[in-house]
Amino acid sequence: MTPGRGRISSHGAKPMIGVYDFSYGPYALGDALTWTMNLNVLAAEAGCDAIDEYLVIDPLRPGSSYQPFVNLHNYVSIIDNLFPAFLCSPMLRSLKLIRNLPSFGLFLLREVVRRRPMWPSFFGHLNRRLDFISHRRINAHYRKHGHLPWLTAPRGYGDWADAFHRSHAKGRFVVTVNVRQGRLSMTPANLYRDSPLPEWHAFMRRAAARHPDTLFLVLGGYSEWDREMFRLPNVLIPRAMGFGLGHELALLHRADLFMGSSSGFAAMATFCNKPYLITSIQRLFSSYIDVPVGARHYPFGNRDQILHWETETQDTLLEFYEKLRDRVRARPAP
Amino acid sequence: MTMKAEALPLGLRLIFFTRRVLNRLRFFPFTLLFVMLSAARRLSQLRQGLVIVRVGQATGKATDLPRNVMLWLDQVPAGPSGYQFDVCLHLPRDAADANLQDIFSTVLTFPRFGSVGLYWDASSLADDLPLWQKQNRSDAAEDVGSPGVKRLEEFFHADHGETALPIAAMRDAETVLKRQAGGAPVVCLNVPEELWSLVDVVTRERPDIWFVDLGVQSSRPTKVANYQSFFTHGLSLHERMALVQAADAYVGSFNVLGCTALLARRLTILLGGSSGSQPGHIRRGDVALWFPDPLEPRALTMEVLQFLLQLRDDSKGAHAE
Repeated sequence: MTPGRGRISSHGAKPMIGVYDFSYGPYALGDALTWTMNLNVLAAEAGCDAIDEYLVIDPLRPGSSYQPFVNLHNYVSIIDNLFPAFLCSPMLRSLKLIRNLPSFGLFLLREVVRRRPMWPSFFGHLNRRLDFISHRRINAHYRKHGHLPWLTAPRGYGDWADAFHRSHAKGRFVVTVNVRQGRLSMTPANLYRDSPLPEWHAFMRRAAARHPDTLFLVLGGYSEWDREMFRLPNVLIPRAMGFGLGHELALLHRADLFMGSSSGFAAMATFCNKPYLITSIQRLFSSYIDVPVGARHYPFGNRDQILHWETETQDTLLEFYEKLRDRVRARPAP
Repeated sequence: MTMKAEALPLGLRLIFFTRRVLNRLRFFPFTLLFVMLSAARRLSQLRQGLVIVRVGQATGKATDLPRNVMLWLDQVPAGPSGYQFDVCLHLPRDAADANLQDIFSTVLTFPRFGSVGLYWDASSLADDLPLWQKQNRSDAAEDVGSPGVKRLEEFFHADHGETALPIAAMRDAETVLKRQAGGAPVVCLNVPEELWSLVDVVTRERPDIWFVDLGVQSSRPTKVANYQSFFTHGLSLHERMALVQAADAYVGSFNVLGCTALLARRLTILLGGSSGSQPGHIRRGDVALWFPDPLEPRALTMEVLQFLLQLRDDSKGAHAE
C-alpha cells in the first residue's frame, strides 16, 4: 500500500483508493470479497473513512492469465454477475468501472499526485502485483487492534434482506448454504474442490426433521445446484425466486448461520463475521491464511466460526449444525 | 473513437502504435510510460472537448430506477461512428430498492457507453467531474429519478438506437425460444397480478402463439399448454431483456423490459406509468400501444387480442411446403 498523507477532501472525508485491474486480478467472488476486506483493513490502518473503488477493464484484453476464457465477447456478462461483490464495504463512497485506459491513467496519476492511500500501491499496480488471496494484512490488523472492519450487505440490499426475513423467515433459524459445484458452473474449473452433494441433501433432510424451524437458503448461480434441492424440506432458493447475487450476499449477512464449502460465499461469511462452518478447505490455502492445516479457526475467528479441512459427511454436517445452532440460540438477542 | 488508420496524421498513428506496444509490455518501466502517455492522451481529449459524459442524480424518491436510467441514457445525442460516452450517477446512500445491479446492467446495454462512475457522495462526484468532462461544461446533474409522463411519451414515440446485450444472453434466449416455440410467434408477458384474467383469456384465445411470462408470480395465472412462466428460472436482467428482444411481441409494464421491447422495435403493448388522467391509450402506428392509466381488465383484454391479430403463425405452412 502507498501510505500517503491522504489529503482530506473538501467535505472532510479521507478516502482510500482501491484499484482492481482485471488484467491481473481474477473475476471471482471470493477474490473480489477478499480484496474488499483488505481494502477495509488498509483504510482503517490509514485512518480513512471512505473508499473509492476503481474497477479497470481493457475491453480488448479483459481477462488475466488466470482466466484465459474471458474475452471481448463475454466479459460484460462476467462483470455484470460479479458486480454486487464490490458493494460490500460500508465505507464505499464511489465505484468506477473504467473501460478506457487513458481515462484510468489520468485518474490514477491524480490520486498519486495527491498522495492518497492506495491499494495496490502505484508501483504495485505498475508491476501488476496484487495479493488478493492472502489474509496477511487482515491477520496483522486483528493482532494489532483486536477487531476488524467487517464487510456488510451490498449497498442498497440490506433493508430488502430484512424485509425478506420478515416475510419468509420470521421465527425461523435461517441457514445460508452454498455447496461448491464447479462441475455445474458456466466455467468449470478445479472440480477436485467440489463438495459431495448427496451428503448435503441427506444432512438437510435430517436437520429439517430434527429441527423443523430450520430454513435453508441455498445460494449460488442457477446452474450450480441440482434439482434435488427443489425437493428438500425447509429450503428456499433465492435464485429461483427471481433474485441475484446482491440479494444472496445480503441474505447471508442477515442469516443466523452460514454452512458451505470453501468458496466465494464462504469468504463473505468469513468477512462479515457470521457464525459459520466452512468445509473442504484446500491444504494449499493454509499458507495464505496463516492457519495450520487442521486448525479449527481463523486467527480472527471465534468459536462459532469453524473451519473443517476434510471433505464433509452428513454426520459431521449435522453434528456441527446442532452445535452451532445451540450456541447461536443461546446468544442474547441483539 | 475508431477511425480508419490511413485517415490519421502520422504523429497520431505513431502515438497509437507506441501505446499498443506499451500495452503489450506489461511490466515496469513500460507500464509507467503507458500510464503517462494514456493520461496525456485523455487530458488532450478533455481539452478538445472530445469526451461526452452524462451526469445524473437519483437521490430523491425514485421508482423503477433501472427504467429511468434507460430513458435517460437513450437521450444521449448520437455522435460519429464509434463515439463513446461516460456516465456519472449520484445515488442515494440509503436506497432500499435492492436494484443497484439492475441499474448497472442497464448501463452496460448501451453500446456507446464507455465507463461509469457511481457516487454516493456529492463532493466526491464534484471532485471527479473535471476528469470526466471539460471543465467549463455545466456541472448540473440531470434528475434521473422521476422522468414524468411527458418523458415516457417522448420515449414511446422516439426512434431509438441499438442496445448491445451480451452474446451469451442473446444466444440462450434464441435457443430457448427455438426449443419451446419452434417457428410459432412468441409474446413476452409481464403483467401485474391484478391482470391475470387477461393472461388467462389471451392465452386461451390464441393457441397459435407461445406465451413466455417474465413477471413476478406467486402462482401460475393459467394452465394452458402454450404458456410458460420464466419467473423461477433465475434469469438475470440481461437474460430477460434478451428474451424480450428474441420474442415477436411484448405485453406488460412500462419498465425496463417494456423499454427494451420498444428499443428492439417489437410489437409492444405497455401498461401503466402514469398517475394522472391520461387518454385511454396512446398509439404508435401499428407497432405500439400504451395504456398509461389502469383500464378495466375486460376492455384491456379485447384491446390486446385485437392488437395481437397482427401475429400469425406462418411456421406450419412453411414446414408443410
